[in-house]
Amino acid sequence: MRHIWIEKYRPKRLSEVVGQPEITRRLASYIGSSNMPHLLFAGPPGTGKTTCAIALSRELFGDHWKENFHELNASDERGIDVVRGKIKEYARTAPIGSAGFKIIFLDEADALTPDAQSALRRTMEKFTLTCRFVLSCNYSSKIIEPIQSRCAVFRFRPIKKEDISNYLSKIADQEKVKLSEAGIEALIYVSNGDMRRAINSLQVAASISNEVDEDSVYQAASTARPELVRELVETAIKGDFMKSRSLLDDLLILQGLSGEDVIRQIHQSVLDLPIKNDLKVALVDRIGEAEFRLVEGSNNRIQLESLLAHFALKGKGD
Amino acid sequence: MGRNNHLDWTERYRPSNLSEIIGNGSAVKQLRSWADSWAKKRPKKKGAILVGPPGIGKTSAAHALANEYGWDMIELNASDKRNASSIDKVVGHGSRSDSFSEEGEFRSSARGELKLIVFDEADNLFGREDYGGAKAIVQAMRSSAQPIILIVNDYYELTRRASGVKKLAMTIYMEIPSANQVLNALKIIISKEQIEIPSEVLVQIAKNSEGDIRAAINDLQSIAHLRPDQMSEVVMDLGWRDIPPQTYQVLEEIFLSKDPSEARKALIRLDETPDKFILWVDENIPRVIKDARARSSAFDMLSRSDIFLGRVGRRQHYRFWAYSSELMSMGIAVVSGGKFDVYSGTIRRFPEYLIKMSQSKSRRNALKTLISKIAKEHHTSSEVARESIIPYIRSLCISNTEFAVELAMELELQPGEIALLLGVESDSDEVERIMNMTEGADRSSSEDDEGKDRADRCVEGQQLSLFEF
Repeated sequence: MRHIWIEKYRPKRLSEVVGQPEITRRLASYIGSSNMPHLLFAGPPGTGKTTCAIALSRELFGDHWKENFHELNASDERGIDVVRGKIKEYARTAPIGSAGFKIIFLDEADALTPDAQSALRRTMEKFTLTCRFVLSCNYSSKIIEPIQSRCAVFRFRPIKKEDISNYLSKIADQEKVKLSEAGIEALIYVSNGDMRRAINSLQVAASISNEVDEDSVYQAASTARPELVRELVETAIKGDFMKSRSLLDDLLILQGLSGEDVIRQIHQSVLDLPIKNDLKVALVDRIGEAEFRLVEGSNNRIQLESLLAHFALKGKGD
Repeated sequence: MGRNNHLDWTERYRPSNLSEIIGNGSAVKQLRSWADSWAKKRPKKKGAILVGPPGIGKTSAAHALANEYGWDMIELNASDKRNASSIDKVVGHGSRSDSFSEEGEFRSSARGELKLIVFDEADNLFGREDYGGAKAIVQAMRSSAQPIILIVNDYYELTRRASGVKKLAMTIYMEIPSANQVLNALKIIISKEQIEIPSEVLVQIAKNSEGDIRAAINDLQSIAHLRPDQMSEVVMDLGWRDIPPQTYQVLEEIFLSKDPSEARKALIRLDETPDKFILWVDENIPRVIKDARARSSAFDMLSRSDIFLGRVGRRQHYRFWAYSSELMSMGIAVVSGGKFDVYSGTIRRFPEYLIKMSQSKSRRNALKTLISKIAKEHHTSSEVARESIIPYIRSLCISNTEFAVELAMELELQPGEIALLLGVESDSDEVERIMNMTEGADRSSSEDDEGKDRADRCVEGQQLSLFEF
């Protein structure tokens, strides 16, 4: 999509990929030989895993890259059925054009259940003739050992400040946006090494003002920061249970967050709360318990309400 | 006094006069003749026992009677501690000391100085805590110089514990109103509230109530804030029709009665599975229990109950339902039963959560498709799309109409999806303008588009938080 800069400026060739020189060099060698093993990309968000997978396919398959590159997101489709169904179905069919194989890019593969991973391992072995897998994950430790041993592992590091800075300046030039040094510093600070977040913030800041400086960056960042969960936690601790329940419904129903999303964000905001450390520790303990129950139970909302009721009690100093 | 300002419609529309009692002509007649005999200072019987199932107007009849005859009223219900000494204190105060010591003699109080003493839920007050309560009631009635009304669901439970009341009081049976009578009562309320409710919705609520007017009014109030089309959806499609009879009574057992094992039995009798019923319990915990400690204990209990439901789901081991049911009935009753001074009308019969879910159905669908379109476009998961991409896109759409139009065209966004990005309703002008502009641009790009100007104006000045949708 040309209007959203993260897509518009997504590198199309491996040589354009920023900040992972060793990785792109190794990947480029596969292009020369027109062959590759299964790959495992591990690293934090926004470091180029997806970009590398796409660029690799483009260069391997040329015009037919779209037909021979299939993306699946494991956090959306994480069950064993997906592995047995969709993935197997795709893996068994022959590549299109002159390509010797096709690529299945399985993003967030660490979200697959262990059962699904075992099934995946068998599929990987069975269809090596027609298909290569590129698995991406945040933590390679969440991928079962037999899969890891069948893949060439690539560890993506957070992109260096200078690299982000250069890339942002390049985009700013092309978009005819004035980007000050302080603006770059602020973008790097809010993005925390995540290129996607840095570019998104730049685009929003540029839409606020054509001269992107510290102020417009922070303004852009603040519009994108979820405040609702903090309000939820604070309302509960203040003791207004009914209001906190209604905020919870907003998150679960109107914003479509999963129970686990909400609890993860609650966890983060409790850590950031200006409260005494002993209370913080007690709350963290209970949040962990709530997540455990949420995984074990059947109704996310009830488990979260129980947590909020506990906050209301603790907030009273009990 | 502000009865009319009551938030609860069941209180706001309590009859102020016996003629407003729904149905029950003969019960009203008997009640009046009993009251007349008191007014004429020649009471036939000291007391009256109003018998009938919950929610049909027994308490209302007592209130209406006191109001109509201009009598003061002293009311005791299950949340009061009703042991012998407290009954003695109240009745003694109301029936003897006042009339005798101040007026000199009881028979002289002819100008409406009678005090009506009402024991609500009288069949429910002889737990262990109320030791001696039954005896005290008989005693009080015997010595009372004031009219006493006992209100019961279960006549036999009362007379078993306090057989003496049979001779002292007149027994009046109240009947369950028909669906039509309930319907008429609902119509009066909506005309007073000046709201419009589709008639099929009213009929369904009346039918569902099975004569329980209080439940019907609660149901009515719980959907009154919705738009008429949403009301239909909620009531007709949301399983409202499938609410098993007695749901409300089971909730009363759980939250108000003093015997937790009764709550368990009541839930066993109910024709509903625990995974559904838990929503009803969940809805009512914070309505009934305001104390932070007790509320937290109750939710902890419910959380444990839900864990068993989760285990049933995973292992198909339905025996776990027993534990789940017992925790949500007996368990909550142990925390709540009869400990909190709440009016039974606070108990809601339909979970707000389900109403919200139904109300937001189209919005949630739009959100889902929007997220998946954007996730696909950006080679990422729904979660990343929702948390790290959409907030920025929203911001760009709000500040730049052209961007919104181009995005809408590229992703073939539907009105509902555009509305989410702009933080407006899907039938708003802004959305329509953007839709028009995408069509205009499709047809011909050279055509001078005056829509653009309008659309520019429409998003001006919007400073919405990105997370408001």
